[in-house]
Amino acid sequence: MNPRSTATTKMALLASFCLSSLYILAPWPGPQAVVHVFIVLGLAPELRTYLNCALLAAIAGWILELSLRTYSGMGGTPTANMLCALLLWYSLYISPPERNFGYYIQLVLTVILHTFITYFLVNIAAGPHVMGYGWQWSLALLPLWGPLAWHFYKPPHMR
Amino acid sequence: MRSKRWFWNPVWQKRCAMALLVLGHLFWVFLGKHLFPMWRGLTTFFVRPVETISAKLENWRFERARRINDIDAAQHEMDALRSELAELRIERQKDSVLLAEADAAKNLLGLKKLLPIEMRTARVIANNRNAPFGGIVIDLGKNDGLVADQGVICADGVVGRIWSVGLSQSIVLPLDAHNASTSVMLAKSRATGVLQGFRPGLARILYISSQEAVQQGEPVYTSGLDNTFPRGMLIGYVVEASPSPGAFEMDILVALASPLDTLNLLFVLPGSTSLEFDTRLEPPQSASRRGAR
Repeated sequence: MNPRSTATTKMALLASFCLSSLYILAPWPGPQAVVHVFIVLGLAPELRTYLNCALLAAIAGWILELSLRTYSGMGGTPTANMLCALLLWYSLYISPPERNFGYYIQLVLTVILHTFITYFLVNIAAGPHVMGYGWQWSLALLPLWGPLAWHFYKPPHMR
Repeated sequence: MRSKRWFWNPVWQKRCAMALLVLGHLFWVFLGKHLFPMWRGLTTFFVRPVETISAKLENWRFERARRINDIDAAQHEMDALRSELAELRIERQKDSVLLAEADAAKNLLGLKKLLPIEMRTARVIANNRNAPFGGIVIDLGKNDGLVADQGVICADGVVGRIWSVGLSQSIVLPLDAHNASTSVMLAKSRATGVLQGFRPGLARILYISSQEAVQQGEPVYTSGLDNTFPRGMLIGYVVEASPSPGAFEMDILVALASPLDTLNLLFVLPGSTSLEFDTRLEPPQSASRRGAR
């Protein structure tokens, strides 16, 4: 069996599972934010094509906003997701990290950037709102979801 | 051909899809707030005719239902009013007899107050005056002290006199009977004569000279000469007055004032011996009681 197709299948299954979890975890905003960041920054940039990357990030954003049902104007989160995922995808494309440490640094910086961009675009689309603690949950639990993302980022022969 | 393929290949398709995706989202985020009211206005504009038609239809259905309810209510009310009207008509028919009797009693009471003589009230039991040898039967008789030739009047005028008396009932001979005679006088000329019955409701005056001036519509009163009626009681009105050809008398026709067909309550005047007049009239000089009959 082709190792690459196996990895793609695993990633597709994991993405489906995470999207379902994203919707189900709506009553718990902290874990939901972690899953959301993992899909956007951990899974989407590893899809190799920027269109799939943007699609997965946008779907995750829409599911998050639809599951919360508290946004007066939607669209801010998926847009921010697409921009950050594409940025990370491009960053990984032009300077692929050789070791996991560099990858984690990029993830941390992108999480912080994603937080501010999301806040900015949601502020434009839906109006003033509270930032919340989702980004802190994401950074605090980065040692959990970061290695998983690194595992899917590595080429199959390195896994 | 090459230029088309250069542009429309999978790479450019992906790029276009990517651009559409990102730009679409950005467009929605930045201009969605302004687009939403426009979109809502547009939908409202297109939905308005349907809403108008449906509102009119709903109003029409509501009005129709209300009209039907109103018609039903009006029908019920009309039925109730009809039944009430029928009941009122029946009650009025029942009360009409009493009302007529009350009116007659009221008139008689007024007449009794006007006349300063003692009178007795009698009720008509039967009125068969148009039959041969008929008359008006009243509920007073010998037991009540009645005797023949007592005068009988009503609120509208003179009715007649007592003709025959039984124990508890009497027969009144009306003025329009052929064998009834009463002494009368004309209102203007004061000429006296004898009234004799002619036809139902009509009587003739005899023994008025053709030299007298008699007018139509002239009242005719009792003269009091027969000692049955006091002087000045209304008999009727002249309807025709013409001199008889080849005679010295006038032919005078009088319409009787009293409604002889609809009598109910009557007054019986006292007998000739009891007639005392406070009106300072002269006492009767000659009694033509039987002769006038």
